[in-house]
Amino acid sequence: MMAEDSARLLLVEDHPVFRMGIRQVIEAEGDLLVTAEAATFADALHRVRTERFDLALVDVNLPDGNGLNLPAALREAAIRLPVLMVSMHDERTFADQALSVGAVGYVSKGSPPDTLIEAIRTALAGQVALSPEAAERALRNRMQGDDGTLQLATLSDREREVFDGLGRGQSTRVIAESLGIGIKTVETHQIRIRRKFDIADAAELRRLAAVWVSQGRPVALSASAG
Amino acid sequence: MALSIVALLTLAGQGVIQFALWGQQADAGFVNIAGRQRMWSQRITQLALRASCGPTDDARQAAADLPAQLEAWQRAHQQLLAGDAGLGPVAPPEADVIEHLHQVEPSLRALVAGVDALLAALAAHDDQLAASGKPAMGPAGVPISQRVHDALAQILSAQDTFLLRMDETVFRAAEASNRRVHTLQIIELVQLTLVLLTLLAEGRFILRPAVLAIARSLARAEASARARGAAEAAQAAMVAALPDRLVRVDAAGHPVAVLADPGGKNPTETGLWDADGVPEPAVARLVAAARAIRGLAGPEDVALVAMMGPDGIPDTSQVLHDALGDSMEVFEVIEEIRVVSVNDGALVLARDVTASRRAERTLFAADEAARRMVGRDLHDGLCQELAALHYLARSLASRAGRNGSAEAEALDRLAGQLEHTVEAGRRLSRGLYPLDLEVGGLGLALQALAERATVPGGPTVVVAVSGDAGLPPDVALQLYRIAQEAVANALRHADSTQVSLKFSLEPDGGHLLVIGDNGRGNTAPPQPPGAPNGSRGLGRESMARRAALIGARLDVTLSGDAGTSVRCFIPALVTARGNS
Repeated sequence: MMAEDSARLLLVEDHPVFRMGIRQVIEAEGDLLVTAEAATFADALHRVRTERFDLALVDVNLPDGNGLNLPAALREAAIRLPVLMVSMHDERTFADQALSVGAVGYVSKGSPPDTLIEAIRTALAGQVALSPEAAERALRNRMQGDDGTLQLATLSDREREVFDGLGRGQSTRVIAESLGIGIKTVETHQIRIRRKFDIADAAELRRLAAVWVSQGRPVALSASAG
Repeated sequence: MALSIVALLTLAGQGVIQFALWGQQADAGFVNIAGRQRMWSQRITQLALRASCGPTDDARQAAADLPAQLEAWQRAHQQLLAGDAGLGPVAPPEADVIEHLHQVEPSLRALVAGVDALLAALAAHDDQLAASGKPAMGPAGVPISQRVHDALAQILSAQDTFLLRMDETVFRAAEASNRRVHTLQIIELVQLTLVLLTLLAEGRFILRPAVLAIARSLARAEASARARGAAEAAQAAMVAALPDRLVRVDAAGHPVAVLADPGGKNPTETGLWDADGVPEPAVARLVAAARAIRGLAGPEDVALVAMMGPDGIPDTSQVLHDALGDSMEVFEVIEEIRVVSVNDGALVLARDVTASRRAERTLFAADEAARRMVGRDLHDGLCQELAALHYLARSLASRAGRNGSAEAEALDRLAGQLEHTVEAGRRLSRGLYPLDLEVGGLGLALQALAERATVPGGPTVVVAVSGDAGLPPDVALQLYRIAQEAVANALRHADSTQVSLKFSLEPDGGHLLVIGDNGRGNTAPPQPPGAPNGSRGLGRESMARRAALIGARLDVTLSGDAGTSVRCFIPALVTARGNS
C-alpha cells in the first residue's frame, strides 16, 4: 500500500472527526500518506523531533497553543518542515497571518476537498499555497501604498532583481552569483526591502516574493482588482 | 323629577282613555237598550192589537201575555233611567238625556194606561158580547166595543209619542257620547303637549346643564392633571439641574474651593483632579475653553466646574462643541457640557454619566459575550464537525465512485448538502459575532465585511483600512458593529452603486471610521443642526449609542446627490485608555 515515493504528512488537529475526514480525503489520493497524527501542539513538536515528514497540516486552534506558532517553534528546533495552516475561518482571515509566521499557505476547512488536495500538492512543490485572491490580498496588505497600488515600483532595479530571485526560491548565494554581486550586497538589499515594507523577517520576505512571482510579477496591482 | 311628571301624565292619560273606552261601551249599551225599548213598545202595541182581535185563542193569549210584557218593559225603562239595565254596562245618562228620558215617561205611562184600559175593556167586552150579541167592529173586521176602541187609540197614540221621544233620547245620548269623545281628544292633545313640554323642559333645564357640568368638571380635572405634570416636570428638572458638586477652579484648572459637594468629597475623589490638584486634561481643556468663550484672560479669573448628576443638564451647548471642534474629547465621566456666564468668571456645567455609561456598557458586554459564545460554539464546534462529515462523505463518494454505483451518487449529494450546511452555519455564526475581529483585528474584519457585502449585481464595496492596530477590543467591536449597520443601511436603502468603508489614523492621534455611499441618501429627513446625531431611525440610534459607549462621536450627513456619509470619530484618549 505504502509506495516508496509517497509524500509523508503530519496531521495536527484536535478534532477527531475532522482528523478522520481529512485523512480519508488525503489518502484517497494514493500518493499522499498521513504517517502521523497529533492532537496537541506538544504532541506535534514531539512527532517532528522523532519522525521525518514532507509537510505538516496544522490547525490554528489547538487546545494547548496556537498553531500559528508552530513554524517558529520548528525554526527554533532547526527542523525544516513546510507548514500548511488550516482552520474553520475563511482564507482571508488567516492567509496573511499564515504567511507572516512562515507557513507556506492556508486552507479553510470549509473549502471543498479538491482545494485542500491542491493546496497540499502546491505546498509539497515548494510554492505558496493560497488562492490567487488571497495571495494578491496578502501581497497588497503588506506592500500597498495609500493609493491602493503595490509599491514595488519604489524598489531600485537591483532590489527588484533580488526580490525576484527570492520569489523563485533561489538562495542568497545563487542570487549573488547570477547577478554578479557579493553575498553581503544581496543581504543588504534584502534588509532594505524589508525596511521599505516593514517585513518582519527573512522568511516572510521569501513568502511575499514567492507570492509576487506566482502572481506573474505584477509591478502594480490596481486597487479595485480585489 | 321630569320623568315622574311624564309618568304621572302618562298614567293620567291611560286613566282617561280607559274611562273613555268604558264610557263608549256604556253609551253603546244605552243606545242598544233604548232601541230595544222602542221595539218592545211596538211589540206591546202589536200584542194589544192582537188581543183586541178576539174572541180567539190568539187574542186571549196576547191579552194574557200583555201584563208581564208591560211590566218588564217598564222595569227596563226604570233601569235605563238609573243607568243599570242589568244587561251590561250602561252609562249613567247625562242630565240632558235623563231629562229626555223623563219626557218619554208620560207617553210610557199613557201607553201603560191604554193597555190597562184595553185589558179592562176586553174583559168587559166579553161580558158585553155575551149580554148584547151585537159588538162594534174592531181591527181585521173583528167587532169591538167602544171602550176597546178608545183604549187601542190611546195605545197607538202613546206608542207614536213614545217612539218619537225615545228617538230623541237616543239622539241626545249619541250626541253626548260624541261630545265626550271630542273632549277626550282634547284631553289627549293637552296631555301629549304636556309630556312634550315636560321632556323639552327636562332637556333644556336639567339634562343640558348636567352634561355641561360633567364636561366642565372633566376639563377641570384634565387641566389640573396637566398642571400637576408640568409642575412635577419642572420640579424634576430643577432637582436634576442642581449640581452634585461645585468646584471653583483657577485659571489653570486647579481647584480653589469646593463650593458644594453633598457627598463631602474631595475634588480629587471625583477623578477629575489628581492628588496634587492637577486637573485631568479634560478638565483643563474645559476650563480653557470656557475662559476663551467668556473672554477671560487674566490669571485672577476663575471658573466654576459644576458636576451634574446622571440626569443633569438636558441639552448640550453647541458652543463648546464648536469651540473645541473635532479635537474635543468626550470623556467617560463628563458629557453634556455647558458654559454659562457668572459674575467673576465662567461656569462650566458638566454631566457625570459614569454610572449610566458603565451600566450600559455592562449590558452591551453581556449581550456581546452571549453572542460570542454561541457564535464561537457554532463556528468551532458544529460547523467543524459538519465540515469533517463533508470530507468523509466526499472521500466515501469518490471511493464508491470507482465502482460507478448508485451509492456514490447518493454520497456525493450528501456531501454537497453538508457543504451547504457548513456554509450556512458559518454565515449564522458570523452574524452572531465577528470572530474575524478577534483573529485578525478590525482591519481584517472590515475587509471581510466588505467582501461579504459585495454580491453580484449589487454595489461594489471598497475598503481601505490603516492604523487599526492596538485598538481596545471593545472599541474595535463597537466600530465593527457601527460599520456593519452603516453598510447594511447603504445596501438596503441608499440605491447606491458604490459603498466605501474607510478606517484611518488621524494626524491628531484619533481614529476616523467613514462609511459612505453614492446613493440618493436614505429616506429619513435631514437632521436639524444641533440635534443629537443619529436620533432618527433605529439603525442610526443604535449606531449613535454604540459610538457614545466608546466615547466616540457619530455624524450622519445626508448630502442629497452625493449620498450618505456616516463618520465616527474616536478621540485619541479613547484608544489610549484601552492601551493603558
